[in-house]
Amino acid sequence: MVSSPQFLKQDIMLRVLYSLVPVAAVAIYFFGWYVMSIIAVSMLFAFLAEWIMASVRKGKISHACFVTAGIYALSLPPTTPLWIVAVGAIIAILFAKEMFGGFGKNVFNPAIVGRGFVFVCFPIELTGQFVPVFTGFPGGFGHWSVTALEQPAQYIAEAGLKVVDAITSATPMWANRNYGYDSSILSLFLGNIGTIFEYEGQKMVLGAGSMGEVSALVIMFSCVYLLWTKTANWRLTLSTLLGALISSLIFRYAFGIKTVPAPPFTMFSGALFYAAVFMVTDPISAPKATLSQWVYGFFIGTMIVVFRFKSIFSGGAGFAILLGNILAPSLDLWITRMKKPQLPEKGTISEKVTESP
Amino acid sequence: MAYTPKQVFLNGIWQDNPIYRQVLGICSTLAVTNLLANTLFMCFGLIFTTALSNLTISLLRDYTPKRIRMIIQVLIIACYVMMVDIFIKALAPDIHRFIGPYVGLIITNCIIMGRAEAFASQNKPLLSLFDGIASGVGYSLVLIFIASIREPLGFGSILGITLPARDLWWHSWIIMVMPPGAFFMLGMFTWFARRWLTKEVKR
Amino acid sequence: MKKTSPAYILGFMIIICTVFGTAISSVHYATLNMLIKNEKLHKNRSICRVFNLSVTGASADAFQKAIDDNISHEQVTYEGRTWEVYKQKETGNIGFVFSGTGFWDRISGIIILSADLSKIVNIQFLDQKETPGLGARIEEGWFIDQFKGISIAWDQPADKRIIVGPAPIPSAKNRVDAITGATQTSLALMKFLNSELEAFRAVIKERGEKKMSEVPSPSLE
Repeated sequence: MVSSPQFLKQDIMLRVLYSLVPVAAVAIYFFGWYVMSIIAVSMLFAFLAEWIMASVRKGKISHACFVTAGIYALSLPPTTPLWIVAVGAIIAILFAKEMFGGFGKNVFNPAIVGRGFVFVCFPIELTGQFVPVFTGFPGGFGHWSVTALEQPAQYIAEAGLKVVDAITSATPMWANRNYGYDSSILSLFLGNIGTIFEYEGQKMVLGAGSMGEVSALVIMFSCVYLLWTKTANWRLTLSTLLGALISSLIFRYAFGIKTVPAPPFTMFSGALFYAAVFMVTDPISAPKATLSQWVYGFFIGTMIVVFRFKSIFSGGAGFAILLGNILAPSLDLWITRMKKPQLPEKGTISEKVTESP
Repeated sequence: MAYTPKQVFLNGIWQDNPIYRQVLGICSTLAVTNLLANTLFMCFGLIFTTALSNLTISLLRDYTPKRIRMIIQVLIIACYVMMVDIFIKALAPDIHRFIGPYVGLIITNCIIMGRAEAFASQNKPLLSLFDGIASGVGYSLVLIFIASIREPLGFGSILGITLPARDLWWHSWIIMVMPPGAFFMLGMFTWFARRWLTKEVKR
Repeated sequence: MKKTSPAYILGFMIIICTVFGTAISSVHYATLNMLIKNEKLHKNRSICRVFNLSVTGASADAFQKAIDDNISHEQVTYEGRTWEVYKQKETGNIGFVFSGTGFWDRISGIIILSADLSKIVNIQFLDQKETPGLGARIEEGWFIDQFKGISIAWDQPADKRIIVGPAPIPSAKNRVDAITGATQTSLALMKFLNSELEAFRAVIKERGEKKMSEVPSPSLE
């Protein structure tokens, strides 16, 4: 083995890490300290994978691997077993990043590749085991996890259900799609998701989604910080949100597709906000030209809405972004070409694209 | 160019391996490697077909008109594939029920056509037979390696035999059951092989 | 003759085609009987298994004998489709060959119902090409065993008489568990099983005007 590699200094990546802190804190408040262990395991294994690979190719370790690990970890359900977390983190670094040549060369957003892999590989853990959140004071800061409780929360016990019944596949989006139950927009905005609803005479527990995406409020807070410090590109975030908003309006009202939920629900449910702020804005896998950034975000926003009512899963933010990643280089190329109608000499197009930061 | 049989063998199995060097026959790598038993039958079928089609094409090479050589090659390969299919169907019907669709796919395997065109149409019969066998074996080694990782991860068994105390520690990796799992395995194997196992040809 | 002349090319092509065509044909004809026998044996084995017949020995003849002794077979043509209907002489249980489109390709099998069509006695798949390890697990014992003895809820809507997968009431008598990770195969199975049952009841009703009296009449929906 070669001598241990050094860190690449990356202020931008550090700022993204800071912006993840409030999201993580809120996740702990809602789901308990187990969240912290998921984040820790994710970061540890992402770091190890990157460290080994960087040693082999004699490169440097980037701070980006912690950002990848953090974004990936917070996109998981709060009950994910730790070994699955580790598998996804290694896949993210190894396949999405190192295989393409390390930091700055990846075509796909590594965090989403890791999440996509475990999502397809372990569908039961990743799509069927959500839990309602802790509420009140001290919330999850006083507990390890919902599933480790000895007594279920009061409203669950009153419905005659046990701790086991609190593990549910019914997130707000799933409940909306399959049981026609609409969660309140305020609870989606704040994140305090967890109640009992009835479907054909059966009592069911409504669980919150993945750890990072429950509260739109705290994500907005982080978003403001990221945009203020110019860490994230406002065009990418805005165009994604606009894409989702406009396409849900068109699908629901112009095409009359009733399975597409109303715009407020679309905007605040699922991973849309989380994806728009933390995932779409990844500077490496996003396109570089201004116009293509608008198209890119808009495309992803639209695809998220399409996946929600067309795919067999109830959410598809990750897959929407991966599709966008595939499109990104071509978008830059087409737009450069459109701006210069006469074909430039060979080679200049590709140089233009790779030169931009 | 003259080859010795030993060179032909080593090239087919190692240095010019059809999978990770020539990147041929990828389709069947994705399709059949989730169960080791299926993989083994596919490999036997392929070795049989490549070897015999190489031999036949090489025997006929001096008589085949250049312009229609591809048609002749396809015809010969198709003939052998159908024979393999019929034999398995008649002699091992239970296995045919599982791998039947894939046997027909042997004909679409680029390795056979590739070796016929690149080697058999220019070399002596015996050498071509060797080359066919070597390519088939090279292909088989990679497939068997991939399958022996995918089957335990996806099904918790190897050659259909359940791993010891499976229920205690094992968890199914669904992706390894599906073709995308082979993409990951193949990508990793190719990466590994080209980085450490073989010498890159410098231009 | 020159190798590039049309006559040579044509002649060469004809010779090659004849030689290899003959070879394939002879191999095919040589094994034709074996293929038919294999096919028949496979079907007979499935029938014996699904009706739970006791077979002495493992030869093809043994299976044939067990079927001849216990099962009456008839082909019923109804609305342009020929149904393979099997009836167990002793119990009166009645079975038929069903088929439908799965996730990838056609799935076919034999299903046995009790004489009054109220229950499923057994089910066996003859042919399926679902994803190995996921959808293909419909052939596994634990999945098939679930069907044994479940009742068909004839009073429910036509697509809900048999439920594969989650239902509002998990303990319902007409429900079996789906295969984890193979939602699409399970849904397809549920869809075509229900429609096949509906169609089969029409067949029996048509034919049963003469013979059978215990068939429940179609409910008003």
